[in-house]
Amino acid sequence: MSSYRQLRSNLYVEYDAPVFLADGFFTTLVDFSLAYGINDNKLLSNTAIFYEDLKSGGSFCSANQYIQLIRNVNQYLYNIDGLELEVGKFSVNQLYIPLANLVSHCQSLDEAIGTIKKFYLFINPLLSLHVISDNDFYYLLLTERFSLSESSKFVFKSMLSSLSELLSLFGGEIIQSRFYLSESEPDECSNLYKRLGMDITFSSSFNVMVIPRMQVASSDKHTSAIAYKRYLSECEAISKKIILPPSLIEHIHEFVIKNCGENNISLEACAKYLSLSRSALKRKLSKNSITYQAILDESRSLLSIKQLYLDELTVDETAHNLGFNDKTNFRRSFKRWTKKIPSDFRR
Amino acid sequence: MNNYLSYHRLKLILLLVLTAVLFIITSYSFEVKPAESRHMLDIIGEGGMCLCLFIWITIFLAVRPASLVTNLVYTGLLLLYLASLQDLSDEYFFINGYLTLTKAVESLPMIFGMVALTVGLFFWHREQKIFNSTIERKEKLLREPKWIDTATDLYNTNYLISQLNDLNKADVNSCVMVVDIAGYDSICNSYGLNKSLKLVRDVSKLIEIQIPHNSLICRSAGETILILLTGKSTQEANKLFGKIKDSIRDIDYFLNVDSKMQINLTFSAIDTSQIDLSLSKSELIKKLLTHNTQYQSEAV
Repeated sequence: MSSYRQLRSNLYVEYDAPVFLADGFFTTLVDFSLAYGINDNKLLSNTAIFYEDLKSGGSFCSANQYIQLIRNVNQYLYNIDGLELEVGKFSVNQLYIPLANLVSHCQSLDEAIGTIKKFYLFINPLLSLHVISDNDFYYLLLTERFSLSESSKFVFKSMLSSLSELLSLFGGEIIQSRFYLSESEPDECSNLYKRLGMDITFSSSFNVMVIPRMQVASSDKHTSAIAYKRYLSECEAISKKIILPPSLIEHIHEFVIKNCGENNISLEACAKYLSLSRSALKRKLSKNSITYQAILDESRSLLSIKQLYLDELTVDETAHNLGFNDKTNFRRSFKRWTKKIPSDFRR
Repeated sequence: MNNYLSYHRLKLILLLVLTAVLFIITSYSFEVKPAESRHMLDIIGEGGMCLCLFIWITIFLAVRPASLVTNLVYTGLLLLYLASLQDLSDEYFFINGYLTLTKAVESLPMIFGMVALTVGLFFWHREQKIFNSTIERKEKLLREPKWIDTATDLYNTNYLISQLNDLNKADVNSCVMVVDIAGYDSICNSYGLNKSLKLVRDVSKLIEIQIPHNSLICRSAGETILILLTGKSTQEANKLFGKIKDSIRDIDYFLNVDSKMQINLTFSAIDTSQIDLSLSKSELIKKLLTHNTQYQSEAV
């Protein structure tokens, strides 16, 4: 029985399981916040993390602790503009994991994005990175691995800043990308323009970085194959040491995407898929401060936008693929999810 | 509140040692009074005073860093404490013989303590006046936090835009200089944010002393400094920047005790007449930063 429980709990990362390295984003956030004059006791209050442990390195923390740290930063440093962007940018170079070096030695943009996709959890374990591409663009879409609530703006922007910095390390200069941010346009945009570039669309349905293909000609890149292999093996070795299974929310996303066509996406079916009872799943979701309906809506809106925009399917086909019997119902749901109508996403 | 007790270990040890010494000398030299001869009111009054002075000393040391004021007030309170302790001891012992030392310990520390305390309080008042003047200067900044960049205490872009609007109404031809510190990102990576922000502050001070008094200097984002030069054309701004750049490049800037660097600045200028003030705030900032990026790439 106990081994069965252990097996089941290893299927996903619990909200309070200390499995993430308190490094990179975490330590840079602490460093930068201290530089802005906040007291370390206040900064780390309620996180159950000690400053001395961070200095000695190698500590692990849970998603819960990450989120509490961001809450503390938002509470005490609410008047510092662009802190999350600075942290995102500089944390890339302060990772002890040699991801920045590995990306800078990639030979093509395709390889660089593939590498980032493979090891993105080293940068920030609170988000999922989905890479979608077509003939013209790469779409780096970010979704929440854990419910971030009021910390989500901070985490999304810092991750986008990290991605932008990583790709600039690959390209040698800032790669001109387009950013879609879910937050509304802030009062002070200087930091966003400085760190992400001028092409930013606010109040978007998702947080996405769009990178045009062929930005960097492979002949212009001078890379070392030996260095690349060495950094790759170092990253893989670290990846093996750190257990980073998907989160509960990611599992539910996967379940919804697999099953929404057959309209078999009830809470009971999902609980069965995760080998949990209905009440246990509800309890776990409430611990994550999220509802099943919210995850369902996010998965379906994501899938519908992908089908409408990238796969260029009709509204009828998309509605059918998502298990809607009626086009009007789909339109109504789509508007509720994205505040837009399906035709806005047609090319 | 910071706790400074660990910085005053010697002072605390001295307090405890003197208390113990006084008690040992008194108990060895004099006979203990029987319980019926003791006056409870005196014990409560004098004992309470002793206890209060002990608590005062401890709290005072906990909240004060080492300084002249701390030393003087501590000395004053310590002497008052010893005098009151000696005063209390005659409630427990028959101090009939009146050793000269005992008498001296009871009478003299009181007056010396009061003198030390008075001098200490005078210096404390002077210290407070200096703090108040500093706070008054800061208060000026805190009154309008929406216009201040908290990291560097410079004005932010919101204030620049409000000034641009005012200048536009007054129909004064001016220009905006956009100044960047070359290699700022690598400095931030190598030396941390604290040193990098200090660099931005120092560079802005160096620029400030070389531009006319009616100019406005503010921080946009990262290392980007925006300067509004009232009544100047872009040609004049170019000349002015050349001088500023040369003067700052000649400085050996110490980021650490042993690592010095040369500061290189990059620059672009845009005439305010070219800025469409009907644009939204974010569009305006975008225009200024885009102009700077284009100017830099053309220069390269």
